[in-house]
Amino acid sequence: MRLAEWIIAGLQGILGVALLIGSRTLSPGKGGDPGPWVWPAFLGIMCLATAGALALHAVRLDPDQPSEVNGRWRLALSGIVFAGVYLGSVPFLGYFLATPLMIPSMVWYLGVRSPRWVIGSTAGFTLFAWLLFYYFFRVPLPAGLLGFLG
Amino acid sequence: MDPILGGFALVFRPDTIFAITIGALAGFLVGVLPGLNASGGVALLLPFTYGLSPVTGLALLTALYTSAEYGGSVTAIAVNMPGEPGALATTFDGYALTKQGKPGKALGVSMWSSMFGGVISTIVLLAFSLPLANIALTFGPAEFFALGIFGLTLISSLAGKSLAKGFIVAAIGLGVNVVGLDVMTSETRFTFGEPELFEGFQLVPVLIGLFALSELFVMIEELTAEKLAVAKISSALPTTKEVISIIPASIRGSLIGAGIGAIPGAGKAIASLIAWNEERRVSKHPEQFGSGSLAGVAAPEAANNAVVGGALIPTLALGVPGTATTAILLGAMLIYGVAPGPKLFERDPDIVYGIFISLVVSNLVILLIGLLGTRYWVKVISMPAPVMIPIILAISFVGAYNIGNNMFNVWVMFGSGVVGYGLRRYGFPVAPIVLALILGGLIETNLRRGLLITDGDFVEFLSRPVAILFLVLSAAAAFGPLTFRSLQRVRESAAEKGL
Repeated sequence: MRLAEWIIAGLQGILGVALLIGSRTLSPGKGGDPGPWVWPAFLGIMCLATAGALALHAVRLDPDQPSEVNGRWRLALSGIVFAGVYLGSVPFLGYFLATPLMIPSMVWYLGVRSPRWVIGSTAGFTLFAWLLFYYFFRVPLPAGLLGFLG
Repeated sequence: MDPILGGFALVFRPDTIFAITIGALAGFLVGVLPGLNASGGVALLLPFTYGLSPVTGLALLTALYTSAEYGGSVTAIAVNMPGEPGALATTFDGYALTKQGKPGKALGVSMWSSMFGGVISTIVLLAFSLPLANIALTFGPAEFFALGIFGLTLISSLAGKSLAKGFIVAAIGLGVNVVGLDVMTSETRFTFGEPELFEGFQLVPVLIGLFALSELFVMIEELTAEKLAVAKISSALPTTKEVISIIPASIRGSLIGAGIGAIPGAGKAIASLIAWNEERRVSKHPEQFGSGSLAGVAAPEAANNAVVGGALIPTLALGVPGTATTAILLGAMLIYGVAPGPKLFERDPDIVYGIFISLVVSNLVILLIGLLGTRYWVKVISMPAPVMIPIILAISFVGAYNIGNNMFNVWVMFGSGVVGYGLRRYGFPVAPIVLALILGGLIETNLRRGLLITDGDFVEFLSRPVAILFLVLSAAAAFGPLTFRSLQRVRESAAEKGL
């Protein structure tokens, strides 16, 4: 827990410093308008203050306090990687190729072995998505390798 | 003929009823799918209505608008994915009920309260169109600024166990919100020369990431052998007693929704969040909010749908559209040869009452669609988690991509998902980030506009009665609970000492 508080305090501190430094490059206001720099500068100070408060809280935390984090985060990490690879592959493979590849592999990876679910969910969703997004709503999804089909 | 009877005659015709049904079905689909919104749906169907009579065409489009607001709640309840920003508050209690195996209750409450919201806002529209429209138009920068500050007090409700953590994540949201072109000077701020950042971070990809994608990662983390099997989920709808119990919450939510909807530019997300928060404040069991309260679903859903009637108030009465969707509706009216404005009520009362009556009928049709569809939605939710996870991922992609047809928003969604997962894992609430994203721009823009008008005089800027009222309410909302808790502690310690 303590590490998480430190990380978030650190990230927020960086955000605060970035806002303060960035606001200095913005122009001053004209007339009654305080200008585009005031709000980011105010928020920068606020971020630094809350980061400081969080860091102080982290210092006060009992270092022996047992971590609430369990060992299953690796599973979630694999999900994040899966999602990242899928999202990254869509522009190249196209939505209607990347999706029917992603669904069965993910369903399989997450432990479902029944062909009914693996094949059924892939075919069912792909057909549903094609009808709804491509045919009905004409969403211009990435065509990728299937672009030659028009 | 009496204008009300004339309106009835125009609506209760087979072609108009059919048009309402088509509009409601299309709107439901638009609302369910993240990334598609009511304005897009109305624009998409508008060309198909050119040959229809004004009331039939407008009935179809308003049915789509109303139904899209309801549809957004279905994915919010089923998979923690708000179909559109107005459904954000529905995730708090709706998804909690789904996790308890009671999605039927949440979906049922959502559909009944949406119907109440739609009907009540139509009554408000019918009774107070002109006076409300005139009040709404008096809203200037000071009132919007104060409304934004009032909205920020919601952090105390959304923060969960730790108020400090709520403020910390809200600060992140406000900080991220400054990215993009400055609204007053068009100067770029924190865009690093990237054209995609000129408009700042879009709300929908952030919403999908923080809520749906992060939930998906949590689901993967919590996958156990039992969850590989088909989950036993009840499709039971709310009982009559439960439906009756949500009527007060629905009325309060509807009035908030209709009132805020009438203010041009205020937005349905703010209306539903304020309705949820106010319901929590007046509830005898505020501790149940966020963990599956039926009133916590009813109030924002009623508000969400009541915004439609509210938004039509300035559109019909003054010809001033308050939202993108009402702007398209206004265009549609002009295409049909109906000129909105105060004289519309004198010139074409049949059409005005026809629109009002069609709104009521639309809500009844939506209720019917909801009642028939709930069983199927519950079946979808009952799929094993490993099957649902990749499907949610694939739908999330479309939702984020469709906002600007670019991969940038997809990566924003992914980044928000990872950040949201990290925050949730360590006990930080994610909702205040979204609240800050919604309100940050409203507060800054109106503060600066107001100061420009008053030549930098802050006292003059805030010396308007409605603004003062909102600021007093904000102070009461922010400091009231703290003062109450301190007083309670003093009383308890005094009682312990036997004083």
